[in-house]
Order: sequence, then C-alpha cells, then structure tokens
Amino acid sequence: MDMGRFLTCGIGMAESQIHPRPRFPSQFFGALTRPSAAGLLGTLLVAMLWFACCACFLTRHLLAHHPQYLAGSGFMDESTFITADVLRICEGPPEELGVTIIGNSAVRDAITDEADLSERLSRKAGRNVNVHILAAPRLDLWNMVCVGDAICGHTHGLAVLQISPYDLATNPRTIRKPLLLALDSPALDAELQIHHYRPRPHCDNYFFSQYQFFAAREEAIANLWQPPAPRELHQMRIKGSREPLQGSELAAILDAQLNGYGTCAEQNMQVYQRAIKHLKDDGGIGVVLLEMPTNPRTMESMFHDPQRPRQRELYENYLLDRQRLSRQAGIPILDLAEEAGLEAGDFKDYTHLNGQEGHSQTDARERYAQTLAGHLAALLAAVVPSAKPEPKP
Amino acid sequence: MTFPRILGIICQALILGTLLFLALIKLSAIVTGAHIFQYQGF
Repeated sequence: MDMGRFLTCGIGMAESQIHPRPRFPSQFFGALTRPSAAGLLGTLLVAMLWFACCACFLTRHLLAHHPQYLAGSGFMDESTFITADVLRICEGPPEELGVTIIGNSAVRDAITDEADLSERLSRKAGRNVNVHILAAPRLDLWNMVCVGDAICGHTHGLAVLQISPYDLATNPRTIRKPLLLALDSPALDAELQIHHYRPRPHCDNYFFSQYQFFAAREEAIANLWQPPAPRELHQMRIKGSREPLQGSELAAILDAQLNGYGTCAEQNMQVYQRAIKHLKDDGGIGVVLLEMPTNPRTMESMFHDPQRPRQRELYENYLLDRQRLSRQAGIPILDLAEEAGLEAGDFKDYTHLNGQEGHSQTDARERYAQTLAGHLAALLAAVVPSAKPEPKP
Repeated sequence: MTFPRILGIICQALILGTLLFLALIKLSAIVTGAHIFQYQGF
C-alpha cells in the first residue's frame, strides 16, 4: 500500500471514530423529512401515477357495474347509482319496450319501485315492459336534459319527464353548476351555447371528462379499503331525517325557489321543448310530462291562500304555461295526485310520499303506481301499436 | 446513496405524492363547486 492511500485510510478511520456513520433509522428519517430534488421528483411522479391510475381504471364500465365503490360510505350518494343506471342502459342493446321516468326524489318516492311498476305495466300492456326510474334528489332541468340525451336511441317506448313550477322557475345560470350525474351530453352543450355559455370541456377519457363528479368524491377514490356502499332507496333514508319544515319557514324556501318564475319560465319551456323534440325525433321515444306530486296541504297554503295573491297568480300562470307546452309539443300531461287519492297524511313533507298519521305509505305509493301504470299502458299502446292494453272486463 | 436514504426518499415521495394528488382533486372540487348532494329533509 502506498503512503498516500495509507494516510487517506487512516484519516477516514479517524473521522469515522470522531463522527460515527449514521445508522439506518437516522439515515432513513433524514431522507424522509428533508426536502430534496429526488424527493420532489418522486412526489410529482407519484401524483402523476395516481392521475394515470384514475384515468385508466375509473371508466364508464367500472361506474356502470360497480357504482357502490364510488358512493361514499357515510350516506347515500344516489347520483352515482343513477349515473350507473344510465350508463348501463347506454351500454346494452336497445330495449324493445321500456318506460323511463326522469325526475327528482319526489317522483321517485311517489312510485313503489321499478319491478312493481314494470309488473303492473306489463300486465296492462300484455307484453314485457322494462321500467327505469332515473330519479334522484335535486335532479334539475339540466340533469333531466342530460339523462334524456343519454337514453336517446337506447330505449324505445316512453320517456316520462317531471314538470313542476319549480322546474320552470329554474334559473338559467344554474346550467353552469356541476352536474349531479357523470354524463357527457351534446344536448346540454347545445343548451350552454343557447344560453351564451361555453360548452363544458370534453376529453376522450372518462375520468378527465367528468373530473368534477370524481373530484366531489375524492375520499372514495383514495379510500380503496372502505366497504362498498349498499344501494338503498331514497324513500327509506328520509325516514330518519329531521322533522320536515312547515308553515312560514317552508313557504319562504319555496317562494325563493319560485322567485324567478316570471323571468325564466318562458326560457325553460323552450328547454323542455328542445329536450322533448330530441327524444321524439332522434330517439323515436314518446314523451309524457308528469306533474311532481305535492302535498295538498302545501298546495293550499302556497297557491290557494287568498292572503298570497301573487303566488296564486303564479300558479295559475304555471297551469296555463304547462298546457301551452303540452299543446305545442304534442304530448300529454299526467297530474295524478287527485286521481290517485293522495292526501296530506300520505306525505312526509311538502312533496315526498312517506306516510304519516296512520296512513300507509305503501298504500299511497301503490295507488299512485297503479294510476300511473294505467295511463302509461294506454299511452304505450298509442306510441307502440303492438303494445295494446289489456281489454277491460 | 445508501439504501436507507433511498427508502426514505421513496416513502417521502409516496406520502407527498398522494397528498398532492388529493389536494389537487380537492382544489378542483372547491374551484368548480362540485359536491355530493346530501338530502336535508325539509
């Protein structure tokens, strides 16, 4: 060994005795907690890897068949399940005969369920009729446009669109709000342009195209170990919700929702007309308007109170507008609350059927479903000639 | 670079990368106003 190397080795040994080499934990924690270029690069790579995984695995197919993994575990996320239902309809072959009901939770809670209504309808129509209830809380006019656009060409028969004074009073500016459902919709893009807004950015990748929907569910994306959320009906869940608002508190909320009726109704009727035309002309689907069921007690206090002439006039205008829409679009309106014998006691709140004061909620829903099935069977026979209703005994 | 140091940097990248991903997702939800509707029962 030459002198130089001997000296270097000697100095190194001496230094290691003075400053002993850091052991595993201190080296590990030092690298873990200290910022470094390698750490920064790795951080960016891992974040990109997460995005890449989302882009690869969070697909339409996954959402259509495993929506429970994205529906949060703490409460029911019905938008995910309704999106899945729509995607499944779009994935499958076109149905021979079906009825698709599009609306909010009030419409859904008024009907027993898909299987029951399908059975009643099939019996009356004399052939198998599939029923899809694509309804979720706060499913507004814009979401209805999206759902109608999505099912267009994938189902034949009837589309039932909910209508109410609240739908016609929808503020056009809400079209820019994130949608409840993760659906691409050229019809909604057209509506955005008509309302002088830029269409939503689109991308071939489902995750990036619907990033707002997934962004709202970031806990579900990262929480891979959470148990899948069970699918429950909305009507089961609101049983446990807090006491419904009544009187002046409820009136204030509903008045606020109806505030824009005078200025927005005309525009919203045109939105309805375009959606109906699209379903009829491009999808070959018959369309029916279904009035959102409302508690008769609320109707009395909201629209028939002599102390509130403005709201009374608003409701009268609504009935005229609804009639005009029906005439211009050439479609019927179903307002079944009275025919189904719905009473104040059958409602949980101002619009949801949920049973109170000894009334059976199932009874009210069955009555409503039976009445609805009768009307739909007759309309189906008109739209699809081979679907003749059963002869009355 | 020693093995413990590499392991430390990898762990740092995994933790910070995941947090960065979640922060970006959360940020886009806040900016766009995306949220899950929860029924309040009124």
